[in-house]
Amino acid sequence: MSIITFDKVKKTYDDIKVLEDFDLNIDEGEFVILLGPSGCGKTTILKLINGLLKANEGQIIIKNKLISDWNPIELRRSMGYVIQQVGLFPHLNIESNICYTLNLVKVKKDIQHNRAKELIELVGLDESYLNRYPRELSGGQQQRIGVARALAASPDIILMDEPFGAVDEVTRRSLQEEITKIYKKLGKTIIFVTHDIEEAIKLGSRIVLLNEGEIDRDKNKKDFVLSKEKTDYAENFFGSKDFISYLSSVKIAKCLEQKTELNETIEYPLINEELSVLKGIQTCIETQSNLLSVVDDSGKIKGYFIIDSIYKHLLAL
Amino acid sequence: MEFFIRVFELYRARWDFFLNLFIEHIYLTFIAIIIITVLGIILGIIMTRNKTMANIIMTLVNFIYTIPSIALFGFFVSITGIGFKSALIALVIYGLLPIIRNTYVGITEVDPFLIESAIGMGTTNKQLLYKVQLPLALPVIFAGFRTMVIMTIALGAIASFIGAGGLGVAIWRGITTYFPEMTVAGSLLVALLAIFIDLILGGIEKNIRRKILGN
Repeated sequence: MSIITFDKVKKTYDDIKVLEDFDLNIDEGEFVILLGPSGCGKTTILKLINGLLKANEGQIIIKNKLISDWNPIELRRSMGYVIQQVGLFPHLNIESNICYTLNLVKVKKDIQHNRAKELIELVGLDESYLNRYPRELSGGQQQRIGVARALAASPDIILMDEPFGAVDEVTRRSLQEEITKIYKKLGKTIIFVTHDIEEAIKLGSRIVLLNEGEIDRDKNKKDFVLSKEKTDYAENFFGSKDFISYLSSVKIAKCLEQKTELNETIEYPLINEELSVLKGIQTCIETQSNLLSVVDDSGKIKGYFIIDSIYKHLLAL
Repeated sequence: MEFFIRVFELYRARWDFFLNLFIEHIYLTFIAIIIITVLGIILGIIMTRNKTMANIIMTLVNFIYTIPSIALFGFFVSITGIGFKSALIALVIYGLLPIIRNTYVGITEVDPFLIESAIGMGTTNKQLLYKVQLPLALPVIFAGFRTMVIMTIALGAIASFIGAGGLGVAIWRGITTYFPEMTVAGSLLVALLAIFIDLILGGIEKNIRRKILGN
C-alpha cells in the first residue's frame, strides 16, 4: 500500500529549478534509497516529505492525506528524522535526547525511561550511556543515539539524510548493519538519502537514482544492479561499483550447489557461508580453484560454491 | 592610611545613614535589574523572530547607549520629574543593551542544524524557544546579564543626582561639602557591592557553562 506519493511536484529555490513534474510512489515497508550526486535534489525530496519545504506545484500525499491537510507538527511527529550532523542537544543527557519527541508530547517520565533503555539496547549501546552527555560520545555513538531518537515515538516513516556521511569507514559499516537489523526487525518505511553507491546497494530494498531532479533509474535492488539497459548517466555514475557492492552484499549461502558426483576424496578450499559472493570469487582466484566447499560456523559442509554457476543463482534471487 | 581609618570611623559613627543608603541603592538597582532582564529577553526574542524589528531595536538601543548617562538622567527629569521613577526608567533604558544583544546573539548563534532537526521532529515554535533556543543561549544571555548587573549597580550611584537616593547621596554630599572621606565611604560601598555580586554571578555563570557547554 502506498504511503508517500509525489504527483507532478515542482520545487524551485528562488529561480533555480530543483524538481519539475516529479512523480514518486513509495509503498509501506520499503527501504528506499535516494541516490545521486550533491545537487540532484535528494535532500529536497526528503524535506518536502516532512514539510520543512513546500512544493511550488503538484501534490504530495502522505498516508492517504494531502500534505496541505496535515498539521505540520503532527506530520513531523509521525516521522523519524535523522540528519548527517546528528543534531543531538548538547544541554540534554542521552536519555533526554532519545526521549526528546516523547517529551514534546508529554509522555510520562517512567515510560520515557523504559523506552530509552529499550532503544539504546536496540542501537547497540550500553544502558550506562543514558546519563552521559552527547559531547562525551564519539561521532558513531552519537549517530546511534540519533537513530534511537528517531525511533522513540514509534513512527512508521523514517527519513534519513546521509546519516552516516560524517563517520569513519569502520563505524559506518557497523551502523549500516545496525540499521539493516532494525529495518528487518521493525519493518518501518525508510527513506534514506546518500551519495554513497556501496551504502545504497547494501541497505536499500529499492534504489532511486536521481539526475538533476529527475529519476534516472528506479528499481528493486537486484534489477537495479543486474538489468542491462542503463543510461549513460547511470553508467558514468556507477562504473562497476554498484555490481561489486552487490556481490559483496549477497551471501555465499544464497549461491549453494549440491553436487553428488563430486570426488569426495579431493579437499576443496573451505569458505564460510556467511561471507559474501565477492569474497568467494576472491578466494577462488587466490586458491586457483573454481570450486569451494561451503561450511557453517561449526565447520559442517553445507554445499559447494562453483564459480561457473554464480550467475544462475544471482539471477534467480 | 590615616585617611582610611577616618573613613572607617565615619562608617562606625554614621552606620545607620550608610545602611539606609545601601538598602535604597539595592532596592533601586534590583528593581531595575528585574525589569531590564524581563524586558531585554523579551525584546531579544522578538528580534530573532523578525529581521526588520531586529534592525530597528538594535539601532535604537545602540543610539541610546551613545548618550552620556548623566544626560539621560537629566532628560527624564524633564519628563517624569525628579526622583525614583526617573532614575528607574533611565537605568532600565541604559541597561537594556547588553541583555538584548546577548539574547539576540545567543539565540541566533544556536547551531542551525540543531534547529532544523528539532523542527523536523515536530517541535512547535514555543517548544523550540523553551526547550532548545533559550537553554542553549543561556550561557551567552547570562554573560550579558552579569555585565548589566554590574553596570546598573555602578550607574545607580548617579541616580542620587536626580533625587532617587542610594549610595550616590554620600558621594554627592562628600563632593559638595569638601568631605573626601564621605565620598570615598560611599564609593567603597558601591564598589564592594558590585564586586561581591560579580563574584556570585561569576560562580553561577561557570556552573551554567559547565552544564550546557561542558567547559
